Amino acid sequence: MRNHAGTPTLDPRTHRVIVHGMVSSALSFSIADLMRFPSVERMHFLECSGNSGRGWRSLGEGVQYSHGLLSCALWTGVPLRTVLDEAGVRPGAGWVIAEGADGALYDRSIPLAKALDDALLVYGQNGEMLRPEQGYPVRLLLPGFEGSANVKWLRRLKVVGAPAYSREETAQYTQPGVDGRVELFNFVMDAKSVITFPSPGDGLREPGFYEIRGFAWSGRGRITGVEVSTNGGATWAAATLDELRGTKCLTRFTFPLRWDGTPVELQSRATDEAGAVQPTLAALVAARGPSLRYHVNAIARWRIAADGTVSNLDA
Amino acid sequence: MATLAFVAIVVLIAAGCAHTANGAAHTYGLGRPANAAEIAARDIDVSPDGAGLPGGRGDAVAGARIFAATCRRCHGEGVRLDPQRWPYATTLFDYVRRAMPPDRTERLRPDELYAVTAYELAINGVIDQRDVLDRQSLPRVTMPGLKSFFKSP
Repeated sequence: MRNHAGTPTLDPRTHRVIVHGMVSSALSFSIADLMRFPSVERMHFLECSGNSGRGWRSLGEGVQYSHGLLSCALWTGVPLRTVLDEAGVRPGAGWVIAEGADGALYDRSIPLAKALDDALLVYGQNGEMLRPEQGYPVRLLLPGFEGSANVKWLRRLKVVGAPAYSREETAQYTQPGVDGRVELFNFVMDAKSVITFPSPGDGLREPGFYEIRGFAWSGRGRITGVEVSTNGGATWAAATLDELRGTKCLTRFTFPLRWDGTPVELQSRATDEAGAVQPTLAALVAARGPSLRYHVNAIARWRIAADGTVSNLDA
Repeated sequence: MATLAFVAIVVLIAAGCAHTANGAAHTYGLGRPANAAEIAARDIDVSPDGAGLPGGRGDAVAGARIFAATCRRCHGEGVRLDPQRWPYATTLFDYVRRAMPPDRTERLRPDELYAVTAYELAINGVIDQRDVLDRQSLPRVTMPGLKSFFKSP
């Protein structure tokens, strides 16, 4: 979880969210108003678009550095569609500018289709009110979208025809592709997985049985399968998925390993219900160019040495 | 009879669609109308076409003085931007207005915002030191990187 301009202190008794722009009636809601709407609770992951990007890897070798800008929580709130319907979206609208009440008045443009699909205004997380650094008293939650689009401390929703082209969606959170061109509004976090045990800093003590454990997730829906390779990607076998397989939600997987004490190269590869298969780093570089700062969903490669220590082959 | 019932259903469906697309549903009656003053106090975003820009004007010479007084304590002599990474000059104005200075010890007035924007664009080689920015001229500044940005349909 990151902030762009600190954590504001907002009074839930006076804080208001206004909905205006291309709506039939501009409306102003208190937090109590928002909490009276019909509510939903959903489990969704949140991943920073910079997770596994090259900038973070230099900080340390553990999986917390390479894959730690990721979480999954139970969110409570009101569908954004319910709130927009209350104001009445006018024809011709295509985007919603969401703006926070933080020090930078952080704003992002959200496609109206997403706002009317599964976007939420959330006030609860894991059975309690949002914590201040998570956007208290209300934030946007866009399941499967890059973390930075999920505007915290929400104060304003402006329904518009075209995006705002704010700094954080143009100069930031974008990157040049192979041809040097920069794609704007590339939101969805693609299919990805990582083995959390064993992993760099959490190795094996002696030969014998171990359970490989990890997580898989996709911003395009449910995880339908995870495969594990213990020989550097030469062959793959299906991992066992735990029962909780929510849409746009972390899915836990396990795989048995009988380690004979010789070096092993471990990889995991996720497939989602859209049919997307997690790519190798080489494939990602070929498709997108070498500046892999954002949306890096490549297969991670862990090497178990003969002494049981684990290293990241791409660190 | 069957025809009449069919017509009635069609009318109801049409009315329902129009209601969702055009009219405020007010299904739950929650919230209150947002008044013009509270919208105006928050409605600060500036579009690439200049919508949302205030009156006022400024140039890089004035901007240098304001930068020294307000921005230098964090940014030194100026922020080295990569103009290739900013598709629209209006975004720079918008960002300075919404986020700078972060401690809110000072609020820049529109003339000062235009001047600081002009200073930054000038020291980064986008405009000339003598160019004056206002609500007409700022949207006409073409950033060198604009052509490299694209948006999927």
